[in-house]
This record gives sequence, structure tokens and C-alpha cells, in this order.
Amino acid sequence: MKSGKVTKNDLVQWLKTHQNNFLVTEKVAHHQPELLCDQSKEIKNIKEALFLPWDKLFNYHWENQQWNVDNIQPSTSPRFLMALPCEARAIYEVLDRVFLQPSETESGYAARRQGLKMVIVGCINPEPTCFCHLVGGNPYWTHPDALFILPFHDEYYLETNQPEQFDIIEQGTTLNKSEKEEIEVLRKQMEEKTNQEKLPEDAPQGLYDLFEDQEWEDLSWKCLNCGACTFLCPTCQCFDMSAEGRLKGFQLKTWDSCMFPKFTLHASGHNPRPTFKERVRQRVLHKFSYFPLREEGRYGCVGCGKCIEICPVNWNIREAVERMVKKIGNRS
Amino acid sequence: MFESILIDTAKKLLRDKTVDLIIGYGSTHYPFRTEPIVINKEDQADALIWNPFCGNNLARYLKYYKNTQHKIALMVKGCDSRAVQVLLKEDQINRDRLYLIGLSCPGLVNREKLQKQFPQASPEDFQWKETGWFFHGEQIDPELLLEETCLRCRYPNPLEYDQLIGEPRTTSPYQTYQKDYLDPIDDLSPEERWDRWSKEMTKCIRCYACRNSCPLCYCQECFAESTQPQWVSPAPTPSDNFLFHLVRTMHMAGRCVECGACERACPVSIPIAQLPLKVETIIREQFQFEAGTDQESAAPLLTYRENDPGDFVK
Repeated sequence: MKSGKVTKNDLVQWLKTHQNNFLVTEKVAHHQPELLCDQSKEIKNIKEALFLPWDKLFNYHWENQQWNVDNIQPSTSPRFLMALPCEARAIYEVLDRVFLQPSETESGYAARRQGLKMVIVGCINPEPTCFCHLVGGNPYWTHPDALFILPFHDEYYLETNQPEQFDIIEQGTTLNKSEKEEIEVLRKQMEEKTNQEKLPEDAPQGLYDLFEDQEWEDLSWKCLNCGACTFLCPTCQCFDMSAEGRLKGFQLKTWDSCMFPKFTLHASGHNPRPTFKERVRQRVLHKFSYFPLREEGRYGCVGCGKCIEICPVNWNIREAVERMVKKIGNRS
Repeated sequence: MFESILIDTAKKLLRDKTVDLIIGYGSTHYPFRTEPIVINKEDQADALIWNPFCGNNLARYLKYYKNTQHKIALMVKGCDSRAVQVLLKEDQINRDRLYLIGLSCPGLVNREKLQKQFPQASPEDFQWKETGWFFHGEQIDPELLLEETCLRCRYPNPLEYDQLIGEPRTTSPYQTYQKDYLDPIDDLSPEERWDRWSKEMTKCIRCYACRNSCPLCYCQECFAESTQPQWVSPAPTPSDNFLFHLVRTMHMAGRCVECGACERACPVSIPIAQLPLKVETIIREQFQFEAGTDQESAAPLLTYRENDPGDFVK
């Protein structure tokens, strides 16, 4: 691990040299506007960089009594992506695990992912809606492959395992002993907070066992079943496929939402999730039960709070989970 | 004071079994935010609140009870009561199953405006009184905080109610401020308007929050989700987004009650209410008709008269 600190000016200059290639999430733009350059492109939601809202997979046409298929090559240009720790966790801990499974790699995602360099900006202004510490994250979470930056005494602290990808680290001056200690103390405090407040170990199984609970009915009442939460969620990964055009057209992949009545509607007309209750339960359990049960306890939610912030009726996933988790306790 | 009247009313309604349930507003853990709640026991009534952040149009929830026998009490502002009247006219619910708790409404506060005007302020810094809005005891000009859709409100009092909470208002924000949200757009040339809306349409993610928060979008299957035939592609391209919003606007023509719930619901801040508001302005001027202001007169798009105006067709 290589670390150091640079002046704000040096950091901004370095960002500028890559500015045509920089994606910045809305959250970073909001928290740290001084890191934006003229050309940096702002995205609403980190997953847009890899998992496109809509994508043409291949063109097809019927000719000479047969189907002709032309594949479309996904874009692969290397890019930098600047995001908060919660958003970065959505990629490392959730989306990569879904789309880069060796047996079923999603080629478009893989192509875009390969060229992507992550810059994780330590979070210094958690919002009231944030809850990353409940799901295993913290405001200073980073990944060895990424460049971690944190505002530090009018300068920026940098840290990475990939100095050849992030050459800015070479310009950094080494931290003295007290500064190093300061960073360590900050980290430790955050890790302790995470360990104290994390959802209980048995939450995924406990929630699974509450599948038939009546409470879901109450919880889902005010939900409008729009897709705002799922479309702005950094980890929601469900998509739909449709063929656009009869004899000539393209295969279209679009984001889908478990909040929509037609999500997983069967061709027979049977709908496994016919009412709000089943749809809301699906959103909660997919993130807090099915995913962690399959992925060694990792939650499918990173606690960024975006869904709470934008919900038209203040449907609060954190509150819902905490309410259901309490029920696990009451039972035993 | 008005909250305590509200709570007493709610308790009495449930105690006397006048209604089976009450749909109203409750508080949340987050500053300046409220949520829709439903209660059916007297001791739950203390959760009811009424303040300038009660933005949802609760008439939207009536469709859940269309095929039930429940008697329902509903908290309604002026605009919400208009939505109820449209639903009554369209035979979506019976008046005798409804108890309308009317709210005399000074207008809703826009959270973004508030945070801009008073950064770092917390809810304790404000008093939202019937006599005015105060920041540390000092009166605030509501114009600085009001939702754009509320600044042009002509119906601050509910038009239909069983009980009114608060004194009826004698002037509307529209009379006071003489503002119309649409003025800046009306001044634009057609090309500028096209550019502006094209830009807005690139932001739309087609989550349908606007549609789903609307009390009057109650189709069982929305045209936007129909696959046979398919009217709109599921891909959120600017042209498909345009198509969705324009068709929705036309479906709302003569029905929109100008509550602004769609715009408040939008997670990507598109000023989407402007589309139906513009159509309603034309209908008001040309047909002398306003949706939801009574329960009898037929909507312009549901009737034909030989002398119907057509000047707006260009």
C-alpha cells in the first residue's frame, strides 16, 4: 500500500489531465465540488457507468430465409470514475459479483469494467439518510485497486495499491508519524462504529424466515410502486429484454424494477408478485436476505440512502429492515 | 392548535365508527419531510400532523379502496379536494363512503428553496403558524419558500369537505403574488421551448413516479407499459420519454387539478407539472372549465359542442 499527501492544487491539476475521461457521481459533485473539472461528466448513479440504463445488444434482420445477427461491440475505453465509498462498494461488493461471475459473465459490463479506474473520495459529510455502517461500510472504506483520497488539513491524503495506474501518488509527500496516527485513529473510530451498529449476523436468515409475516402488508401500504428507488439505487441490477422490431431490429436491454406490476409477470398471466406487499418484500429481501445468504454475508445494499432521499412518500428501507430485524429478536 | 383539532376530529371519527380508517399525514425521522399514513384505531390518531410539508395528494390512495366497503376519512387540501371531485365524477368512489377532512392551506414549502434560504437550519428554528411562517420568531415571506405550483394556487380552501380544519382563506396565493409558473416558458420561442424540453427529457429515467403519485392516473394498465401493442419503447431515450410525457399530458387534459404532486415526486427534478399546467391554462381560457371545481359539468374532452373553440390548434 502506497500513501502520501498532495496539495489540493496538485490533485486538481492531475484530475484535469484526465478530465475528458472522468465520470463523477452526483454525490461527489455535491460533497466535493472543488474536485470537478470543466469536462468531467456527472452521472446520477454510479451503475450508469457500467450497467447502462438501456443498451443495444445485437442487431438482427430476416434475410434469405434466415435470421442474420450482427453483434454490437461494447465500448471499452479506459475511464476514471470518482465516487463515494458507499457507491464504490456497490461496484466491488455487489455488481461485480452479479455480472462478473465466471460462469455467466455479462460481456458489456465486463468490457466497461476492465478499463475502469476507481477514485474513492472519503465521505466527510454523511447525510441524515445515510446508513452505510449498518451494512458493513464506513465513510473511509476503500479497495486496494482504487485510489483513495480524503481531504486532510487543507491537503489531500492519498492511498493506493496501484501506483502505476494512479501516478499522482508519486507526487505525494510522505506523512509524518503524527499524521499517520491521525488517519489510523479516524479509520479505527469508523470501523468500531460499523462493528457496533452493523445489522446482526443472523439478519439475512432471520428475515428469510419472516417471509410470510403480516407486517409486510403494513410496511408496503404507502409505497406508490414507482421505480424511483430501484432506478437510482447503485446496486439494483434487474433488467428486462425486449426485441425492438419484427423482421429487422435490435435486442434491447433496459433497467427493470421489482416495484413494477409487470416485473416477472409470466406469459401464462400468472404474477408471482401480484400486490404491493410482495413487491416491497422482494426489494427488501433481495438486498438484505437472498443476496447475503448467497454472497458470504455481503448485503445487496450499501446504505447510501439515495432511495430514502428521493422517495415521493418517504418509504424508508432502513426503517423497514430495522423493524423486521426487531421481530427476529422477539421470536427467539 | 389546528393539529390538536385534527387529532380530536380523527379520534371522534374512529370512536363513533363514522369511518373505518383515516388517510392522513405523519412525521418522519428526517427534517422537513412527512409521509402518508393510514390509521384505524383511536390511539393512532396522535400520529397525524398538518404542516407545509404535507405534499402528497392523498386522493391517490382512494383507488386501493375502490372495490372495498370501507368508509374512509381523507385529509384534503384545496387541490386534493378537486382531485376527489374528479374521482367522484368519474365514478371511481362513492361520496357517501368518504369523510373529507378539509385543510385550509397556505401553500407548501419547497425543501430546496428552504435549504437555500436557510442553510443549516433545523425544524426547531421554524414555527409554521396559521398567522404566518416564522424563523426564530421573525416572519418569513411565504413567497420565498412556496412551491412554484402553490404560488399560482387559486383554491387554497377545499371545495368539498365535511369538516374544515382552520379558517377559510379569503385570498389565494395567486391573487397575492400574481405569479404564474408558466410565464418564463410562455416568453420562449418555439425553438427555445423545444431545446429546453429536449434537455429535460434526457434527465427522465422513466421511473413513473410522476404517474404513480398522481391521484388521477388510475388506469389498470398504463399505455406506457402495454406491450401488445407497444406504444412507447421501454428504453428511456429522449424521444420515448417525450412520447410518454406528452401522451400522459393529453390523458390529463381537463382532468389535472394542478396539485403539483407529480413534480414533487420526480427524483431527477424535472419541472414536469408544467406540461399539464399549460394544458389546463388553455382549457380554462378557452373552455371556461376547471377540473374538479364541481361534480356535475362534463370535461371538455368528453363533450362536443358546435361552438367549441379551436384557436389553440396550431
